Amino acid sequence: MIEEPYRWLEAIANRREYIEDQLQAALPLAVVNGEPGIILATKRAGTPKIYEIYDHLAMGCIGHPADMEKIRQSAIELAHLEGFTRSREDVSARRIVTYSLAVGLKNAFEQIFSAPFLFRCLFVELGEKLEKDEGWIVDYDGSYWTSFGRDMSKGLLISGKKEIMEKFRTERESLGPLEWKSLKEMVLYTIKLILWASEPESLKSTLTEGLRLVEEKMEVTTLADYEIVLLDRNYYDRQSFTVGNDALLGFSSPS
Amino acid sequence: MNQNPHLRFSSPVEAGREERLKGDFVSLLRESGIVFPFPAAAELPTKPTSERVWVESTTILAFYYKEGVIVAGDRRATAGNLVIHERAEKVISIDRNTILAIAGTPATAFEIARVLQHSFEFYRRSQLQPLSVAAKVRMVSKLLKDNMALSLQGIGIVVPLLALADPFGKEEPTIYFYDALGAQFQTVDFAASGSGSPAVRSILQYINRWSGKPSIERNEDEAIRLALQLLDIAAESDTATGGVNRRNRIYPQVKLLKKSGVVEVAEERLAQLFAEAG
Repeated sequence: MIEEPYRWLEAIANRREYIEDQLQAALPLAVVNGEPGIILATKRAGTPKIYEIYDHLAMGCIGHPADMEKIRQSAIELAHLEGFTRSREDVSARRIVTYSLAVGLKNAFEQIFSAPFLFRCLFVELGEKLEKDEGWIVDYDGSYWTSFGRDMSKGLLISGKKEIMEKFRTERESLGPLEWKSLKEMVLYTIKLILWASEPESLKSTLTEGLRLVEEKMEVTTLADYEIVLLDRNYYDRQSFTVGNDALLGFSSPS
Repeated sequence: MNQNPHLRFSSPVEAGREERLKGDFVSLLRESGIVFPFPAAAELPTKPTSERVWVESTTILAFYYKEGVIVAGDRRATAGNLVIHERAEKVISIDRNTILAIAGTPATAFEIARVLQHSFEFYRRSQLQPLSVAAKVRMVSKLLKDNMALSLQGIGIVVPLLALADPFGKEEPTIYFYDALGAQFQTVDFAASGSGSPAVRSILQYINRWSGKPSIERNEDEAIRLALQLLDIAAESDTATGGVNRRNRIYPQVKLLKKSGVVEVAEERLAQLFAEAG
């Protein structure tokens, strides 16, 4: 097969088609940043999908649990080895994604005689200031797309449906700069993105229109249905990863 | 064998990965070719490199007070009779619920602290649950035991104190102390280590038995005042203990461990409480 280029291309295309098909049912996952920090959210499932990688790094994934676990472990190992042998400041999303995660995923994707990774992730780094925040969307074939600083306030989204991701990525440019005043506002916007990405009708209208329609129907009184994590900027130099709950995120009074 | 740290998506059941999957950071370090600083006894010369017997030049202490545990340490680092640093950090937060106070050879002690910091976090993040108190206590013991060769050489002794709170907030914080070979002991009232510790032990024995107000009945301010006074007294008789240097505004490090976790006491508060102590 290797010596016949056409067959190799066909095998790669089949592989891509198979992975996309397997990911179709995955629940969307969204990220939004603001002055208080970075919010990562998805609909709650049986197992967690949002993981702490290092003091200021987190990863939200969709895909096969075993593949997510393997990649999560590798990212944690890499970050901790780097943090131990060098320093915390040397552990960055950019280096982990571009020099390791993307390389490893691309190699695995092109190994056509082995099972592929069913995996897509949003890798985020909390900066000392909002302008220093980073978000990386990394796909099963090692390709990645990134957003920095204030641009992340418009949101980043991964979904099992590639066309939804493409539409959001193209049309988010039309959204004006978004200034979030509270964690609650950030969480509500993140949930709005998740609900929009879950709607089968979302492809039929513009993003702005779709988000408006979702907002009209949306009623969020509790966060019980969502897995939400805050990377808290107050703890930038320590462990910023905080599992969100109603009280922390402003949906109920602290008891 | 120095391994490229790029991601290798190897199978979790592959030989040699079992320890890593259990969240063992030390195994990961070794597997990655990062030489851990503890040489085996066989690699060392058979005679001590120095005729001088090493004394852990410092004073660190920990005792129970009303709301938990207080851990304090002086700031002086010495080499023989020479004071080489007056702002050493010997009371180290390992994670949100653990404080390690170090006495002994700084190079080894700081390395042990760094290994612990990364090990506890690595375990918590990879296993999605915190390491238990018992496992943390054992890990310090194991690192000290691994360091036995250097301890026996007289060039790498570390005698730490460890204060831990239950990560789930159910148990009260506890204090452990160790010997240089890794034996661990849980203390019921206080622990002190380093060359200035005999004075501290005597005073705390007196306070807990005869003063009418043992340390565990003291509130936060009283406990901090007592810790500062103890270190000040230790410095009176031990040249290797820094004590309180008000002229240069060098105060000991003081950390509190409550059920909710580690709290660092700011220098301004230390200055105020020490002044109040008279």
